[in-house]
Amino acid sequence: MRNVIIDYKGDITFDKIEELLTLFNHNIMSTISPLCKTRLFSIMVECLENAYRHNYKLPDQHPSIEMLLTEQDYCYSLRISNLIDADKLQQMTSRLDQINKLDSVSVKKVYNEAIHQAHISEKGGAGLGLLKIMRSSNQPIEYETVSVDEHCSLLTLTIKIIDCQHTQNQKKTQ
Amino acid sequence: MKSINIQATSTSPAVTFNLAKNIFEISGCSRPEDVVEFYGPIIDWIIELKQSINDKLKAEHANNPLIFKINYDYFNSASAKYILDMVMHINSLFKDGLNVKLEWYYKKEDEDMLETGQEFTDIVNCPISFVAI
Repeated sequence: MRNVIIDYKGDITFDKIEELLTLFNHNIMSTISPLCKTRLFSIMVECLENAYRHNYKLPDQHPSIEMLLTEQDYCYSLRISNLIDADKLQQMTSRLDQINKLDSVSVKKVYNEAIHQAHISEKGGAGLGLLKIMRSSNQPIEYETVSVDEHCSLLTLTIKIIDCQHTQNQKKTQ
Repeated sequence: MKSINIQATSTSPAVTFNLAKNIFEISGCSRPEDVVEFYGPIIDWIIELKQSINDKLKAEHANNPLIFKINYDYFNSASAKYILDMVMHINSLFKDGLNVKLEWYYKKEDEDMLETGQEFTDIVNCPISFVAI
């Protein structure tokens, strides 16, 4: 059975990120291992901050997202959608394709090289978010894109993380 | 030198850098809205300390190291860049002859925070301790 932890559709602001993280800490199941909880929290922060910083703003509307966090059989899935500038879509999907080819050892190596060269952008990011997500989830980042108009597309990321420690604990008790 | 005293919030860590009291601590959660605005003055403080290193300061701390305690519950990727910079600047104090030590704290179940600390200090020369709490 799939459990819904957070299902949110609405504006995205810095304060809203705080609200969603508070909701995460409140709603997350007590059975999650501390390490998986830390990693899932980290994935959620990076995804929300990416969506907040790189959201395409429609005229006269606040930037918005759709986010669904679920759990099934100790596998957590975070699905997050936001509009992105059409000009930046290609850059984003190329980056995702590049990162998704990395294994867990390579992603750490690339992250450590990138952090030494990173610069903080005008939007406040260091360009390390996707690598951090991949490090935390240890799984490829799934993505879908849907063209909205000539200015923007809808980008949906799905990140999965398996609570290995919980699974190990379960096996030990069998 | 003026000290730094910043109270923790839900998105930024507590920071106490006080040379007179020999306290150098940073602790809590770090994902400030403006990471440059938050970490800029902290990095500048360490650079100012480096510029004020002289024989008197070295002698005062010869048997009394400046211990920088880094104790994060969590930090985002933008903060990570600045925390690495901070570690590098602390190391440069050691390279300039000041008796400096680094203590990297992590929750015992948080192997990622330990691993990050090990990666950040991989090319650092000053003495480092990893402390499980």
